[in-house]
Amino acid sequence: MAHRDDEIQKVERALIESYRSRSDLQFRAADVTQGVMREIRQKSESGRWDPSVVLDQLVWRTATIAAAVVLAVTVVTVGLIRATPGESEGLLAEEFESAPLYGDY
Amino acid sequence: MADESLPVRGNAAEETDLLRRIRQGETERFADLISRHQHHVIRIVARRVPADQVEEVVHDVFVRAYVGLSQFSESVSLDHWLAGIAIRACYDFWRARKRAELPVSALTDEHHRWIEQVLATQSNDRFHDQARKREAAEVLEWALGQLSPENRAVLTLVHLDGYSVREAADLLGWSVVNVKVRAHRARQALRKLLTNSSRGSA
Repeated sequence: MAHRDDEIQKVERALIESYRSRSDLQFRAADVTQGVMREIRQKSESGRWDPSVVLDQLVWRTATIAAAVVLAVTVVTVGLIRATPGESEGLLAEEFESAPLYGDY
Repeated sequence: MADESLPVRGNAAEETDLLRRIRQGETERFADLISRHQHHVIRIVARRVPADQVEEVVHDVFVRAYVGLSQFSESVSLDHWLAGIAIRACYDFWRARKRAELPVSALTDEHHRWIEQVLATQSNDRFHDQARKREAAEVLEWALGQLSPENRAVLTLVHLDGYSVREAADLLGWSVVNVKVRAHRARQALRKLLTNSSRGSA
């Protein structure tokens, strides 16, 4: 048999109270300072995780991607501007020449 | 609202100076930062992951904090910033565990009995006693274990910790709309689980 809506609300309230009543005493964990510092020292020595290095890498990556996008947009835009006038004339001429008119067959 | 993002007592100027020194390359000073904020981070993590995993996740939080220190803008408190990292680390922990497809424990007779006792309770005092029982924590853990990592993260923040949708979105780094939708769906999923948790159907 399934529970009714008001019963579910009561169980829900009990679960929320259970969660909120957890004592801070049980939240004691071992000191992580030594372990974290050991890892940071190792990575810093190899130069991979230094915050300034990470920031530098981020800046360079962003700049490279931005430059590549700008270059691609410029090339496409210039290509379109150059191609448009000549191409339209050429295409029109080509179309008149190649398209058969009624009665040509 | 939960007090997880509230700043710890301490001298703000002292903390700014500490951050400046670490950023300038005084790596060893990061140990002071860990000592100051460790308890705050442990409290957040211990509510979200199994006891035997707390240390590992807290370790991960401080390593992430060190790596991302250059992105800390000081527009928010360091505690609030660390709370966000801790919550996202816990979310990642459950995502990894879900990928590993570890089995979720089932409800036992004891748990069903606890649910029946809660439903039968009339007085407030007895209700509070029931909520403090070990079975209550186990039923909650069982229910959270059935949810997706996303729903679990949102349900914990919004319904259990009591954060607003906006605050939860800020801590998780998700959009407000996403958190709002998930909060609703997660609550519905929890209610469905509890509805079907009567003896024999769980």
